[in-house]
Amino acid sequence: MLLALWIAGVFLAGLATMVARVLPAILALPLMGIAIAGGAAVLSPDATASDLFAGVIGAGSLRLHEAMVVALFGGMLSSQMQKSGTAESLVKGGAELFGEGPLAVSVLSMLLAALLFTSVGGLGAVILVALVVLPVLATTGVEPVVAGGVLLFGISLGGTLNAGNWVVYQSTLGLAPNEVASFALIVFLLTLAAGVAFVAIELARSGAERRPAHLAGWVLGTLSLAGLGAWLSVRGGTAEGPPAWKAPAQLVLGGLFALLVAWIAIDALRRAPRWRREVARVRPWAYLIPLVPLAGVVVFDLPVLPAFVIGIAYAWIATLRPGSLSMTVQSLVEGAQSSIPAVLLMIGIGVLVTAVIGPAGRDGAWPVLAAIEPYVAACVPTTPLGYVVGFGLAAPLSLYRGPLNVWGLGFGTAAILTTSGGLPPAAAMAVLFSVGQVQGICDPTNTANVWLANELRVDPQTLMLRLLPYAWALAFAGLAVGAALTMR
Amino acid sequence: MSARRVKVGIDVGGTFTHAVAVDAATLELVGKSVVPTTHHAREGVARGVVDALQKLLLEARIAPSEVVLVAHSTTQATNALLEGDVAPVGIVGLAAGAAAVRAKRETRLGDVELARGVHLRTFSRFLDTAHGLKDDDARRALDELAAEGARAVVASQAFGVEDRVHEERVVELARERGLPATAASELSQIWGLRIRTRTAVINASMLPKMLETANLTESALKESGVTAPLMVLRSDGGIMDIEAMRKRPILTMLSGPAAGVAAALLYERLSDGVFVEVGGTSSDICLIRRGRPRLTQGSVGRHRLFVRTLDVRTVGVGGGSMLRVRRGKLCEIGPRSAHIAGLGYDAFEERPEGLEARVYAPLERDPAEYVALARPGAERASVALTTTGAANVLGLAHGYSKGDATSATSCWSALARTIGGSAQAAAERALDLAADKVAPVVKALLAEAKLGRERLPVVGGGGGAEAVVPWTAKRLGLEHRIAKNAEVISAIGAALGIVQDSVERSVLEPSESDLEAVRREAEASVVRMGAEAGSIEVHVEVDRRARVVRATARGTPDLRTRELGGKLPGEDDLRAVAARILKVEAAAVTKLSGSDWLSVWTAERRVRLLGIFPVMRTPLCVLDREGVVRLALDDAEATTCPPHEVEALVRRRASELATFGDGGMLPPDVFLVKSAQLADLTGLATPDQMAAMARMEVRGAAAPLVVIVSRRG
Repeated sequence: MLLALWIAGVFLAGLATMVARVLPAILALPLMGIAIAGGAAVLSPDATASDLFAGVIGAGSLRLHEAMVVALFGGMLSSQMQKSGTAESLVKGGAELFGEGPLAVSVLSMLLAALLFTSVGGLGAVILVALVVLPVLATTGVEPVVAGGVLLFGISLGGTLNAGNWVVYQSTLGLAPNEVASFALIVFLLTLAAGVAFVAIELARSGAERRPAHLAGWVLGTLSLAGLGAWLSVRGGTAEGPPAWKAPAQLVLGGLFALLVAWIAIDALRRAPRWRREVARVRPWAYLIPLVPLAGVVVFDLPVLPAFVIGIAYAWIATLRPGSLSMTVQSLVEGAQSSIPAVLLMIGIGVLVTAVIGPAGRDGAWPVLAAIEPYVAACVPTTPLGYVVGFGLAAPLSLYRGPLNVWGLGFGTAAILTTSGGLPPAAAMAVLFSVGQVQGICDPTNTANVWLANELRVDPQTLMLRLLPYAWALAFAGLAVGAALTMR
Repeated sequence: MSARRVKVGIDVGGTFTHAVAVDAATLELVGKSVVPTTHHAREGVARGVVDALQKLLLEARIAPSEVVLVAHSTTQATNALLEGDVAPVGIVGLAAGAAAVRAKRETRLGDVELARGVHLRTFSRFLDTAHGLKDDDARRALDELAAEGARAVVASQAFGVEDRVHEERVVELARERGLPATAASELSQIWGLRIRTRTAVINASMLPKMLETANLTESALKESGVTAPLMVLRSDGGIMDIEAMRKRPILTMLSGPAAGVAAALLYERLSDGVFVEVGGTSSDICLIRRGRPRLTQGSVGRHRLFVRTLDVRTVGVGGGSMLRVRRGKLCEIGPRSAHIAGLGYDAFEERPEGLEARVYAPLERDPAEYVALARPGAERASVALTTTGAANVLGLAHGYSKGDATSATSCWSALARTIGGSAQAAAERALDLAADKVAPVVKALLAEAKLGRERLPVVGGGGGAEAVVPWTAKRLGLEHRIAKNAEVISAIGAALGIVQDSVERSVLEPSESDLEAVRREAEASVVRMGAEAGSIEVHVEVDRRARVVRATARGTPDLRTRELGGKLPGEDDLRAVAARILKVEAAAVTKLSGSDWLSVWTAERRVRLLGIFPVMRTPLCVLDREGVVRLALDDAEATTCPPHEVEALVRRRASELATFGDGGMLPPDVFLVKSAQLADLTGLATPDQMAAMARMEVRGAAAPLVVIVSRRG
């Protein structure tokens, strides 16, 4: 009881300091984690000082180590593109020749991200997609916050149809693949509607887009087209085995890539005699830099880090010129530096997450979870109206690793909802799916949000506040559909 | 009398063209004249400009040789765009290599919508310049465009911002052929081929007419013996010489409202506040912050343009706006106004007795809700119930709008007899209705500038100011004042105009040399247009979002106007002004430094944080020698420092006082006080850029400067 109050107090105080900008998240998040774990160590016999120091602060800081290294590699590749002038000339060309289509570019970017994220996931993929999409968005007059929103919506959109994410529901709630897939399709369409609404409204508000007919046409066109695509993809997602296109695509792309590298080598040899007087010029194949690692992940099923290594190597040969080796080394160092704010934030997030769900490899129940669970269970509504209104209003509790954060509490939430809360498994899935969208799109403690905010030089809190109205409305809609389908 | 130097300002309004003569030394009004605006004359509004000037010289007995400057606003560009009175434009698109496919589409604009139902016709030709530009090809394209009906030409090249040789060649060939022409990348240096082309097209479409007008005005001026330079008001509130209008008429798009704003800045000396210029039918509202009006990206129809214009919001209520009644209740005021409806004003009615109220539609498409007064039995109404009348009923009008309170009251009593209540109640309700239209716009402007909680004054100008501004300010809980000579304030603004030009350029990561280049270009441009070198202040901004660097240079016209005849305030007077601004006793104010021109004042003030914790603040203000506030800050530090140490100091303090959020660094506000200029470094994004700009600012300075730093947020 006392511990639960303390946890709630820490969350409220932390939130207040961040929103009022008294403390930046980079300090507030780890402090919240330390306060929660410290409270548990003092108030509960189940947690010890060693849990606090070694478990939460020590191991918690390293919890997101993979994401941190990925962020560093991503920064390196991004820096390479900037230093070689590739990014600049990409941006310049985009602004000059596509400068007046912010809506088209935004919606297409969102769909591109969605398409990719139906098969990949994780921060590495976010960075890879962002490196392609952000510069182009920036040039069409889309403000940074909206550009970030476009990507976050796209990522969530793809995630709903990513069969890998469905496994959670199938294994913990015992649902059939078909049940999950059909609800996923509904959430996909709702998310798409919310995402397109976000883009259309924010662009119209900022004055970047002023043609209502044009707007409406795009919105309707996108919705119908993407709906069709999603339906096809759901049918494919429930099928077994790797998709049929993969093997031939690997063959063709691999061959083309080999030819390209050979061509670059020949070009370099041709230029070799006059190497010293070579002027820095961006060659056409340099524009493929962000696409090479992306293809590695999507088509060749490479893990993210090796894909980045290939990308960095390709970036070096694609921008080969006098001094390009030292430029590459410089990019590695400066690129990593540019990612440091995101890495520091991830350390803080790791501490907070660990404080909430408990240090890894620890025996016995973690008192923080145990303190929250009964309250969550007691609040689970059982009537359809209570279900929609209750979970709808509570949706923001999924932010900042709050009690409704499905990925923070992991399988725990699902179990609480069905066993202690008494919800049907399908209804529990609808909650996780709908509320999960709010968390997935807005949460300033998502590594994707943190990295994007850092890259766009905006505050993750600002990003959240701008996206929340759309995501929240989306959660209500998802819950309403969920209630209609599962609560009869 | 022979030493008198007079500046003439002419404002072209919707109904009247006002001209004023202002003594350049004392800023006193020495004469004014008014003629009807000549919308329909063959020479356009230029006729009225010339007429008003001649009438002014005659009536105020000003010798042409006494005139040192003539500046006028013009509604010609605005009207031309609204009415589609523009020349068809031929576009020559240029690009090389892979960009050509896209560039061909982006330079083909078709019909450009200027206003609802009004279009500008354009024709396009495209030349691939992969192997250079051949004169013959260009000539053929121009011939074809002319044959299709183009009367002006735009040359627009993909990536022309970086290299516009081909554009310039096409423009040259077009001029040889007798077609006025615009090079798109000369007009704006921002990436975005389509918008850049459109901006140039709008500019070119006005060229034939504006050239004619400029020539006419100039020769008429010469004929009347005036040899002073002729200037035009720009959309950003500054003035430019007529030569610049010949090349870039697009810059006069919002010339009309710009004159009033110029007066608010230079005559009313409003450095922070809202300026509301109230005409007969409508009001223009503009926000002024730190001595600069708020600007926005210009547009035509629903399309963006690459020009900066004043962020002026117009609402349909003015001094002559008529009252409306629906179902026996007062429901709205305006947009129809008394003089458009052909009615007299209630406040100036000489025989108000026995009038009866009628509800009718003044013009054909108006709703039948407008109230007017008529003599019993008369077929037509003769007197309107206006905001001006309401202000007189309530005793709010003391200046230009002051009529006869008794007449006004008896007019409004006629209304009260029909709808019930008293004349006063009806008048109050009427002014409430006017405030309903104006107040939300003022609020929105303040909110957008994130000044929602500041208590900025509202200043009214224009003939109808007293009818609208006091009541609206009261509604908003803000202080207000009515400008001196409010009815001719725009003409005064034109006369006092500051020579201004700005240079905008797309730059991804601005280097020091980029900043210096735009700064120098802007400065050179205002010198060329006749600004006095010592008076020029350049404001450089880095817009990280749009990836644009922008320099705005302003300087007073070079007339040596500052040999003031009037008495300057003494040190004690200045101290009193400072004490008022800093909100402390006069004895507590410290004068930090001061040249003859600008002085810096500060004080220590104890405030309570959250009402409890005492903390010390050091508010600061910069006054010019006439006691005008150039800058006021709630909490700032000021350091006097020799020129060679300024750069290092700026770099150090800008880094130390930067605030960090999760989104990166936010440097403090930094200002430099030079002998006669206040350099504003607040538009820059990093301490390095600030230091670089500081170095450019102190170049050539010998006397110590004051560096002012204030933490943001």
